[in-house]
Amino acid sequence: MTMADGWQIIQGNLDAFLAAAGVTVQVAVFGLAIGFAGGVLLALSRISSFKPLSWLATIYIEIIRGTPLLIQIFFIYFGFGAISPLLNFNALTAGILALGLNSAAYQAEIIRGGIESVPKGQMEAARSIGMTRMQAMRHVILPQSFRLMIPAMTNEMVTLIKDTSLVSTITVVELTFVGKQLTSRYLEAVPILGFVALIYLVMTFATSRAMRYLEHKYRIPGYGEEE
Amino acid sequence: MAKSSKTIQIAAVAIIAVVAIAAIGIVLMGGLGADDRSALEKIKDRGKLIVGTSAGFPPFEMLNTSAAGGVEGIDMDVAKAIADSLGVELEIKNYDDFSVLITALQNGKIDMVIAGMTITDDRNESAAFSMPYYKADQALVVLKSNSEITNTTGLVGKTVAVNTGTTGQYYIEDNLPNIKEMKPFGTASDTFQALGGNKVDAIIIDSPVAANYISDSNPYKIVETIETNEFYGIAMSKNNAEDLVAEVNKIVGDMIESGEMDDIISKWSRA
Amino acid sequence: MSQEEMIRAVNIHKSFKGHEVLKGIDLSISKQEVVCIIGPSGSGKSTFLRCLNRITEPDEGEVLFEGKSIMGPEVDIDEVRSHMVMVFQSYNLFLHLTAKKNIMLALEQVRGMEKDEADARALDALRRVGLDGKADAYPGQLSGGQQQRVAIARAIAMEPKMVMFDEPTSALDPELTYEVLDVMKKLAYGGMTMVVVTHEMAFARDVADRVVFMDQGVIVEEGDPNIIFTNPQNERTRQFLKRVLQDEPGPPPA
Repeated sequence: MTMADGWQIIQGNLDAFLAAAGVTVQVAVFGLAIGFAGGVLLALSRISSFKPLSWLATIYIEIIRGTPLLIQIFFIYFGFGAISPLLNFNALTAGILALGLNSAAYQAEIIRGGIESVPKGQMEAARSIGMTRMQAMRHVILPQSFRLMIPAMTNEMVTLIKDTSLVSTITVVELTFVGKQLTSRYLEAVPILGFVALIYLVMTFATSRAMRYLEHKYRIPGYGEEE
Repeated sequence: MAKSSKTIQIAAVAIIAVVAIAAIGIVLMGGLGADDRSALEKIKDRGKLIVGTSAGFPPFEMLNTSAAGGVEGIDMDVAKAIADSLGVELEIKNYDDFSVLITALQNGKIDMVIAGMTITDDRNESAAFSMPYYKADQALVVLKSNSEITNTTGLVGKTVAVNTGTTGQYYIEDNLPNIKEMKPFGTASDTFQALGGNKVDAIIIDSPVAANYISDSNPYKIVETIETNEFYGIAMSKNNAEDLVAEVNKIVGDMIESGEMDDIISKWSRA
Repeated sequence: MSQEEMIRAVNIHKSFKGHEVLKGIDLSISKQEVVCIIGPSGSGKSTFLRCLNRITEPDEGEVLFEGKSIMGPEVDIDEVRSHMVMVFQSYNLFLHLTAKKNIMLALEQVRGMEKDEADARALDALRRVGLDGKADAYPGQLSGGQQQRVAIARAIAMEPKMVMFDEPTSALDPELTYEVLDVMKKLAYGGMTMVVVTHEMAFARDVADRVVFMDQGVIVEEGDPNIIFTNPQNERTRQFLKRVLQDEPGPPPA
């Protein structure tokens, strides 16, 4: 039971780790993409002046944010399949869908926050020279809000990457699954799980660095951070 | 122009309403074109048998990342034999929590459970079992250094680890009310981790699994074999799967008679 | 100055949180007329201006633009607004776009212009306010006075029928107000219909065709600037002007 044994186990299973890391990335990327698309739709619905739409979006967001992600994953994986064969998703699909639908609720609030932190005068100026609300949103508000929401969005991305570990419970062979199984088999928790943690750290670190770069690249000249 | 934004919003709500009504419709009708095929027909049509298990229950299912499906052991060899007999491919789904397997079966995620699962009256209500293919008892395991606990009476006021949803857990619930706490773990190997890490005082687990962990280099010892006379079976769906059950019984019966089952068991067992 | 009516406000009422800010304003502005609205803070001047293009929606009353009512949901208010543009106290330039792009955006989106035409028009507007050299600068890189001039360029590039100014120099340092007022004067002399809410009394006196004094949600007095400033009829007008004109930096005492 030494670190040397642990390293041997890791080396011997490097293929499995790499494949699993690939699955983690796959789940994270698709989950985030669905989350973003859903988030934009939800955010715009939420701030819409058409009450029923706003109301529906709010209910969705409240339910998703108020229930555990793990429960949502089980619901979509086991529950949906029981309702109809059409909805009998395989583990990977169910996992991505659950993460995506969950992230959408959180991203909606981030996007909404970004939109609302754009100074009110921007919308007024756009409207007062004859732009429609949609034109103003698309060309004036949203572009600015995207820059403003980068920090919060980075947070959500890091959180989602870590949350992918939960799909290990529905048989998706990703990093945490392999880590747990190997630990179960070889009982070398510290080196094995340490290695898994390291891989996650590399992923989250790379993500926040990339977002920081984006933030810098798209900064609005004259405002915010000094160059 | 002024109206376009309002129109889109109304359209959005209309779309959501239509989708919601369609979804409710699907739910009420129990799915579009409910599947009437029998379990065996589905497997043959698919060309693949999907077996659910929970690795971490040696020697029946253990993790091996190089093995097909990532799992190996007695149950996996049995699964392969069944798949070969049916003339289809094999897919293994490895759930990291034993207690979830019957749910997966009931929700159509897997065709059968082969996971060292004991046939019990309760389980018979949710699943259809094959004939038995293995007999086991429960073992009480403690650390070699523990001289205090020598049998189950010594468990009063102690913490005991079990594999969630197994007969070990049920044994404690039915027979040992005076233990301090029962700690459930997703897999058998998790319980051994807990014992090794001094998180619990003892484990009650299936005897062949306990035997697998006993060796000179491991710190565990079996202090009592609790005779529960359990039989492992393969769990299948209760709905429209009679043909599958019959076929599996035939295959397993042949394997036992020909000695193939014994060969598989000795191949993997330590004791 | 033509006598044809450009815009008319009839009985405009507006309350915020139970507090009535506009208590029935009637005002008519003719084409090519320059009207300055003056008055103490809280008098409702800005609110009234914003009611004219329905950025703030009146509770009661009507606004007619070129003889036609612009109230109600059936009216294409975006189209109307493209003809009566507004310049704000805090400039409200689109922060993520260069000066030139700020102007081009509305031309492309609202007037449907092609990129090249919008580009040329935008540069021309910047030239008219003396900032063609700053076409590729971002608002954050410009001084307050420059930003406001770009805002005016953005407004006039639309070739509006009327321009409304909501305290255009109030946020500027004193030495920067001159450049903005200068642009506004040129605009006025060029025949643009203008409604200006302002504290710049000298500007009002020199450039306005008519001065309107508002206080506590009503129009107290209105008329020729020379008369209003030298011989106001109403006591409240008198009081206000006395206070305000005393504070204005005049020539140093001899």
